[in-house]
Amino acid sequence: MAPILDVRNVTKRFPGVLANDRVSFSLDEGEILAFLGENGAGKSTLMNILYGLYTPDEGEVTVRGKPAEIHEPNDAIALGIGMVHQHFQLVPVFTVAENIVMGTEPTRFAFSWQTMGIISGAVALLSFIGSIFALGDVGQWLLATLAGGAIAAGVYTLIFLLGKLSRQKAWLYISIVTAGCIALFVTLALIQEAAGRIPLLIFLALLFAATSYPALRVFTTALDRRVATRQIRELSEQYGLAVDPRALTENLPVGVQQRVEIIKTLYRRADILILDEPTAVLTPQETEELFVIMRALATQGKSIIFISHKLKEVMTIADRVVVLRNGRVVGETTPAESSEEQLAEMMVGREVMLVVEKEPATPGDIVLSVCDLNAQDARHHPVLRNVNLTVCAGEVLGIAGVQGNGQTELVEVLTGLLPATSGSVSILGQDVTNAAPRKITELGVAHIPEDRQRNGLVLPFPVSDNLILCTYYLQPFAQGIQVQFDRVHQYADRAVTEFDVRPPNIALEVASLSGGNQQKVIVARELSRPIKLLIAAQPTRGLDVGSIEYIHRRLIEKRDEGCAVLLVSVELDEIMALSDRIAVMYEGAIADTVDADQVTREELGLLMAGSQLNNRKGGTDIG
Amino acid sequence: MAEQRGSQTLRQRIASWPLWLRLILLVALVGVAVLFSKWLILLLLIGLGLWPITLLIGLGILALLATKRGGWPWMKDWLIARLRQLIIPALSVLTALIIGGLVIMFTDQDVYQAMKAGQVGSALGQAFGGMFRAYGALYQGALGDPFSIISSIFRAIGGEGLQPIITSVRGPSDSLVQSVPYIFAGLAVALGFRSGLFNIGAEGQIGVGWIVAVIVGFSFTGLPAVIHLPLAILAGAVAGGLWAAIAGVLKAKTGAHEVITTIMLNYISFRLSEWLLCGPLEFTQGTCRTQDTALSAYLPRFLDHPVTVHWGFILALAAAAATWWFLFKTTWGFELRTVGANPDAARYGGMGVAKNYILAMFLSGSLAGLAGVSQGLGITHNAALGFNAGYGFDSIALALLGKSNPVGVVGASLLFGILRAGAARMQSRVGIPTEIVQIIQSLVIIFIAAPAIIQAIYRLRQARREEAEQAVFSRGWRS
Repeated sequence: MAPILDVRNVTKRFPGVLANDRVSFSLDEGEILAFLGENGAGKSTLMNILYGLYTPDEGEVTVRGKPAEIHEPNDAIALGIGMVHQHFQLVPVFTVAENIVMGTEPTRFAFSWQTMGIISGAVALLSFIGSIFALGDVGQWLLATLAGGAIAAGVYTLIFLLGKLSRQKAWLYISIVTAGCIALFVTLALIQEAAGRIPLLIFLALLFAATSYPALRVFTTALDRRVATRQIRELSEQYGLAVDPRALTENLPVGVQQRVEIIKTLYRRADILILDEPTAVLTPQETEELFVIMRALATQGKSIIFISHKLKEVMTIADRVVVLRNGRVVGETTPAESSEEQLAEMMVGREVMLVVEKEPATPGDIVLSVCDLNAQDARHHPVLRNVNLTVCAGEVLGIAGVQGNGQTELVEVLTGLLPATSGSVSILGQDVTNAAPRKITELGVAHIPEDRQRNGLVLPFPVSDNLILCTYYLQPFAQGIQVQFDRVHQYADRAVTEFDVRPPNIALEVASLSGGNQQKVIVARELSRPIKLLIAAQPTRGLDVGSIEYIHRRLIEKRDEGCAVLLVSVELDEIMALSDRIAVMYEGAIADTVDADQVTREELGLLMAGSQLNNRKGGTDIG
Repeated sequence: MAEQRGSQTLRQRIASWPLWLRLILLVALVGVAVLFSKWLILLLLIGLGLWPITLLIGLGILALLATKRGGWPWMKDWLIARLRQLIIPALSVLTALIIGGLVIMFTDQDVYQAMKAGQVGSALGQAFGGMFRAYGALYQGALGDPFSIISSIFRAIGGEGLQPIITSVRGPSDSLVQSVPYIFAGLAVALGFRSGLFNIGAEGQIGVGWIVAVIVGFSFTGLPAVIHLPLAILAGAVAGGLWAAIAGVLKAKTGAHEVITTIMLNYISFRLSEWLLCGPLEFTQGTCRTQDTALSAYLPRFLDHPVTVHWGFILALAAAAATWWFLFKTTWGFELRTVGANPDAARYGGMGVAKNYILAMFLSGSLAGLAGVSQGLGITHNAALGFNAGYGFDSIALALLGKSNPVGVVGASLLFGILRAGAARMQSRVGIPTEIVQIIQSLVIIFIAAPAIIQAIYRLRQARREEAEQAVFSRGWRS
């Protein structure tokens, strides 16, 4: 069978970078093809080429045996290629149906004889009843009835035709309707010998054309939506994508929003689906649900390109794996023929330690102790409920939990960014409940923030300035109120070399670094000063295998130096690999704290889903 | 950057001297500069009037420096680094002048008369002649007549004294005088931009600074100028700063967007000054103008009539240098810029975001206030109705044009000063309304704000850095 999509020797250059270098691959019908590669390996560029967001410099793309010219997303959609972006392209305040219909051009405002019959019949009846009272004889009654019905049918047809026309470009609609109206009006005016009215009539024609366009758009879209809602129901039943078309998008969990995106592509009749790192935002349960959906889609003949840098997922779901490195295809294999270790090595180009090697912890004194902590978010909803925990020197306490169960807020309260409503936090015996962030930092607390681009970095600033974000006012960087940039640059040069930030250019804007290297800048900043407590929130989110390995090693190094480490992560594997003790958060409270070597993945999964370990029933239907 | 790295050895050597020696040296340098200020300014004005010669001399000095630092390759890099930043602004100005020229050509009644008479050739001749006359007058009004400057220099050497030179450099002098309030106000908005604040209220802050400086100027008599003048300047700056700080406090405490509050504060200050000027402060009935300040509060001029350059110009340059140092070399400036670029990261780094908003607004307002001070104490010596004349609104454009960089703002202000000084002459000589210059200024801003137009016209390659910088401005609108 010929492949449904065939890509030959696609090359894409950006100034100074060869993003894709003669990439070739093919995709069969009903196949799940995984693309594996580190950040910056060229996966996203390749997918953006397929979806028409970039034009390749060289090479060709063949869809269903025919050479395809994809210049913009509309071309891709017309070819049946749909893409689910990592960051969803949904309007939060729209309903699911509205989001799905949005931007689809073909009209579903169908002409129906039945509707026309009902409407003209009803109007005819009304004019008949009216004429009985108003007019004298039977002939006039009949005439009025006929005229009423005919006029109603005519208006219905006219609205239908205009509605059809309003699907065209605005200027086309307006010019055609204006021309039509002017012709009609002028003829009428000439017949009635009222030529002086013509300018006014022309104005009215323009006014009608301009105002009827948006009105009709709204009207026909509203009609579309009813049809769409039905179709969405059908689609979601067919592929097992449970979604309520009338729900407001912003109220839906991330996993369901992703389903909306998938339905959106199916609604546009896509049979090649590109999923760009779909699992990056999902909980383990949601990921499994997504995989079920992907399987269902594949068995019904849809072809799926799945992009990821998570080896486990690729091994689970893919039929075939293509590995990219530095813009080139470095290998093609199937999960059956290879192992995670082999894939990792192909991806990074060297042997990678997938398992973190660490000695048993030797816990010392208590560094952080949290007692009955409560906090509220901006809308005064409680987000932390009586949280109790302690972290000792020389140990890693992992906080596991599904995203959005209070971990973010816990870290914010501990670092002074969010006020606690009650309870206490003490670090090294000092009470720091609701202390200023700077006071907490000065006690020797380092914080690797969850959202590195929002909190951790000033993107338009150079690397060197970002490295002194918390220490710019201290000796030796500041002398009085002057910043000693000579010293800052010396320090930054050293830090960049030590923490292997690439490229090692401290004058570069951080915005231009890859995600992994941005994270290394933060790690370099936080670990370069003497610290007693390290709070690391999602330290490896979105990073590739090589960077993850590096950051894990650094965290364990810090632990072994006697630093207390609080690790917050939604990646269960990460928590299990690094932690000495694990606390599971559920709905703002600590569900349980367990020893890392006495708990299984499944037990943690249950705790994360809100059930207690001694009562393993129900409560797993999250998301 | 290259320049700084090159002179590092000298800077390090100076930095290694003891503090008292450096202070004495600084005072001595300033003293000498003050002593010879008259001559320095005269030289500056001549240099501006004969700018092609100045440019050549500059290139010569650069070449001399280059022989020590790596010859032509170094010089080429240095020049390219500078020119690359200037290319978009320069082409924008050129394009704006061309379009402005077309406007001059086709708004000329004589051209239409000739057209109606069917004389196309003569109409075109009229059009081009009119444009060249207009731009000629603009140039002379703004930069003087180079030939008369040269001849006046020879006449001075021949023993006719300085007066001919002074008369001939009136154009450059007018340009500098016009650019003074622009520099201050442009710095004010630029400092706001860097701190993530869109200070639309420069106009009002200028007015407040102006009136307060003038009040201090006429309220005290008999004070020596050494005390009176700094007092009046300071009072104006602080008044402008406090006025702006209202918006800062509102933003810091309640989250009210500074665009809204500064615009509203503008209206309040306009009406308040109307009441003051036509009410309690009115000196002669029916003039809506205050009393003139005491002589001791005059910003002194350097030279005799008609050259009106005053010490405000030096103050403006000093303010630009101070703003640059403050923003880019101090911990306070680092905080301001961090808050401006990413308030969340600033909070994470332990900086007080609210405190910095208030500080930034105060400093921005003080700079705007100084624009009013320089006009009030340097030019008018009083405050009258409708005095602030749009400097505040133009300043937003200046900050944009200068990319929120103090050096860039000074350059942009000089350009606007030149256009404004030339416009007056263009109107008096050729009868072209000064408003044509506003069209040119606006076009320059449009092209700067949308560099893609210029890149498309002149087929320049995309400058990626600029887009990133542009993003900083637009961020002001999101909240």
